[in-house]
Amino acid sequence: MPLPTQQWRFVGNAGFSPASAESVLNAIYTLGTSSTYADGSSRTPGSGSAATWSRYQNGGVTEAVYATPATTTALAQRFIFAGVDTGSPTPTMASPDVFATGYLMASVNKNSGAFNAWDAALPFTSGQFHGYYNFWNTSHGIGAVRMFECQEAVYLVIGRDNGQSQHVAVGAWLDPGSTNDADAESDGRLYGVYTSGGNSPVGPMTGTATAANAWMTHGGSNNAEHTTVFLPGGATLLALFRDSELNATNAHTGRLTSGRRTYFNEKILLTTNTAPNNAVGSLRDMAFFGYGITGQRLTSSSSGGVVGHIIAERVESENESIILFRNA
Amino acid sequence: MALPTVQWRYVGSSAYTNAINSALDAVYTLGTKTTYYDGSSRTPGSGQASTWSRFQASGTTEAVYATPVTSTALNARWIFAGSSSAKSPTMASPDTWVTNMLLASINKNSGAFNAWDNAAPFTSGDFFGYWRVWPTSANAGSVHMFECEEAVMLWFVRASDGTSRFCCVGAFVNPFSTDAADAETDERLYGVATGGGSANVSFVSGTSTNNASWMGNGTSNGNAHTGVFDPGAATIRSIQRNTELGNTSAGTHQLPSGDYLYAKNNILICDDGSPNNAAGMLREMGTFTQATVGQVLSDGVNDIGYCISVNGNSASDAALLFRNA
Repeated sequence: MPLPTQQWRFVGNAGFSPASAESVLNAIYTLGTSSTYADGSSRTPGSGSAATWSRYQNGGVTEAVYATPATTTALAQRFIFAGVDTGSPTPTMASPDVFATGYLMASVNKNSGAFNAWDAALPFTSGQFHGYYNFWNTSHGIGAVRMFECQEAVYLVIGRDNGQSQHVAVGAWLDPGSTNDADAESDGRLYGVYTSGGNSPVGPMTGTATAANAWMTHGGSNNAEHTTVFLPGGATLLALFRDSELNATNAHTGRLTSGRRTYFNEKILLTTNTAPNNAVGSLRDMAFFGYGITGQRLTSSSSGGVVGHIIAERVESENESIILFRNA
Repeated sequence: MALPTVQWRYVGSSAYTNAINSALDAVYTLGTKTTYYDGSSRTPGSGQASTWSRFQASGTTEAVYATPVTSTALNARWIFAGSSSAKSPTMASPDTWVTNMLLASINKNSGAFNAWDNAAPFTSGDFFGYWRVWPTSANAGSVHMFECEEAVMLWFVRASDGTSRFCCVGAFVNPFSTDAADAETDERLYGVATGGGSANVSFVSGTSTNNASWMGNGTSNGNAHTGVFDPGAATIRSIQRNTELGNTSAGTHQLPSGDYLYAKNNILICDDGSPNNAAGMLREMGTFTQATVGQVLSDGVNDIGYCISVNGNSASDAALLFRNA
């Protein structure tokens, strides 16, 4: 049975200052508990596309925010974002990343129980923990978090004041297109984490997939870009690589001669990043979109409805971008 | 209003010698077939099957041409031609006339067939001009025909090594817009694509910028070319495939289970030149990595699509034409 179509929503921006792990986590929590979307429409955590978010504070200092997605799948996934500015906790990291203070991390857990502790081997008591990847550090300075959410995944863009951005996605954002045990979990999904890396900003999003820090690809070093999912039925991770790319990706490649935008619910294929590069799935309700700015939205010239929301390399000027389809 | 979904069919293949009239006769044989590759019935002028005709000079075929089954407002006609003797047909820049080269073109707002080497081969309307497709120096082989209601794709496979040449003619680009700047009055774009007369097709789902890429565009005589009429005009807009795969090894569309993963309508076509405006999407086609020409992707009961590929003998860089039935 095909996976349900996802409805991506743009929750909004939340600025953070100072440039600390705690400050960014609080911004994520603010967005996660928002009662409105960016367009002013109502948002009720736990329904529609909105996950239910919680925050863990240690002595009043936020160290983790975590969420239960709106759609409860059989594998009971949970999202978690964590990090500290001081101290020396020993959270479970996903290789090759290593823990460091002043870095923010993201992960997912499947077959989850109750929240335990973010730096425990099993942050959600039971099940399989992906391990953390780094996605931001304090040297990036102050900025703002943009949150996009759908029923089974969340996508965060952490923009810097210089316009560069860090990207992270957790959840069931990949559709294997198959229910075979070799291809998908028992609930037909794949669960994983994408991060543009702990240090460098996201690289080409629609262009060359082999470029450094390219969107939805996988580097083999600490703080590099990473894209992984659980192997079906297990706790081991499978590294992925975006295989679809555009040749020219300038400001016009997504625009018709008339100036109207062209878009299509293209399947952006992810494959393993080693030979024979088997297909693993396609990104759920995402597509290439030429140039855009994170947080822009595409509306239909006929109905006026929102077609989708834009995530892009930069938050202040047009660059390579992806559209997340609203599907409503 | 959205363009209708087209249904690609695989007619089959027909052998030719290294003579221009032989290759044209092979195209005509396929165009007038009464069955598809799988034995199912084919009736020219209905379903997906165009109505084909042939022009012969003293018994030697010099042109085959067709009226697509879906008669749109702009009356498109397709034509494939060539000769072993000197002629002076209207060529589309930058290609030039040469003997023993199969050529392809399209006409819109057509009248009756006139003469293939006349400035107006279909009496009236706008003639695209010919681009080079297949030279007799590519030697004997078989042509494979894929057809839908509004376009035809021909794939010429050399018998000795499986290397190939191709052309596609018709309304194969969907502009997804009715704006007069983007589409003809019947919401379509009409054009021609060829791998070029100089080299074998080298990439289908991979790099789009090679001068022999499928749906690519080179600027020299004999290069791959892809173009459509500017809406409402006879001028040609050079376009080029903008979607490509970073890796086209055998596994990239095959899941760990062995099942195939595919998507359609995912090949973006843009202007071949700054600022690279989008022209649309290839109609009911999709990237597919490695296969041979004419391979069929099936769900075990029904055909999902048909493969076009760099090579007709061994699995190579390929794309899918979707059956949609």
